[in-house]
Amino acid sequence: MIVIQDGKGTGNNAEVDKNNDLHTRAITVGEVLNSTIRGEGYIVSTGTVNITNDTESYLLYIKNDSENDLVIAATVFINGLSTGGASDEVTFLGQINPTGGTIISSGLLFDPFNTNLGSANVFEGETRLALTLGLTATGGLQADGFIQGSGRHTFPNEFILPKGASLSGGAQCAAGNTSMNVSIGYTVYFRDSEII
Amino acid sequence: MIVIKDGAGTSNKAEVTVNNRLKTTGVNLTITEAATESGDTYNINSALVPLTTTNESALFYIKNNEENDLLVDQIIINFRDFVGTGGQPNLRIYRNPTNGSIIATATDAIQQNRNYGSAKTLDCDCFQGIDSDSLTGQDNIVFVPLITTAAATLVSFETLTVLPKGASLGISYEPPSGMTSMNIIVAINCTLNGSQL
Repeated sequence: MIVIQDGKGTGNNAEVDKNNDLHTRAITVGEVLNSTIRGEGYIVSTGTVNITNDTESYLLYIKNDSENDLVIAATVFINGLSTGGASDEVTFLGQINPTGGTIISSGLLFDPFNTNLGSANVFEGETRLALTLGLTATGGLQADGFIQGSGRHTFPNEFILPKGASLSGGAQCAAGNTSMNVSIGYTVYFRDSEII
Repeated sequence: MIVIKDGAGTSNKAEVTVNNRLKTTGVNLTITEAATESGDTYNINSALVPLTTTNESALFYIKNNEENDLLVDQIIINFRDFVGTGGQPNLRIYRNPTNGSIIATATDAIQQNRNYGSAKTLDCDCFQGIDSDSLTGQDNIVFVPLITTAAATLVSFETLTVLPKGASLGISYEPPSGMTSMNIIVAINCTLNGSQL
């Protein structure tokens, strides 16, 4: 039989209680923070986009080219008030694995924001931003949602993009809209293969 | 074969379950909770800054001079006394800015250790800005549109940004075009990742 002693030599011993539980203490680190420390966390964001119509516009495209899974840890959709629209409701467009469309062919390539400010890592994949309204995403699985009213809407649901998988996000404002500011942002990280 | 017995001197022995798991009762702490215990978490904030122009204003800058990583847990924007036509302001987060008037002027921000019994201070350059201050030399910027300028609004969001030694972070604020005057505080909650990991 053994007693677990403090390795620092304090004389403290680990307790076992009357329920036969060994008492432990642990510091937990979430996967997002762990990936950020490794320099594998990114913010992929459109910034502010002024939508001046009521038709579909894809605004952002992300594709994973890494051997490691790309995890979409959170999605943030921000929208202001509509001018001219029947309401402030917005359809938050999402397309999984699009194979075509003008967001892929003509969206601006850009470097996502590495959240480890000392890391020289670059995003291993493709990220594109719409510079004009009306860009399309086609050939994928449509997964839209509705945003009712202006605000900052955070969706903590986790999505995984294995190598080669992609995602495009966009917005469509209510009928009659002539002006609404929107922003789409994703908190993403490449999963550490050693922790699987 | 070994059996783990109670170090407190009772006859209790650790159990292994029918599924062959060691039975434990654990206390789990986040890294921030553990760091606060050791006096390694800080609130750093600007004073209440008056704005009277609609220019972009660099209001917060921090550079980590510690050997260990500094984890930025949250960014907090607090504004009040808004006068003018409301709208959506823009926040910008600068990655590794190197110059600009906020750095040149170097007015220290307010640093507070979140363990009120700790005398530790954070080794950093941390400055607060004024209306129309600038930041330059960054290698990336992320835009964060805010929703409202309603009075006494506290906007807090998790960032989980890491600053190794020498890395820096800047925050600027651009009011909506109809603003004529307002007051604002920019702050961060941060954790020095010392002995915790």
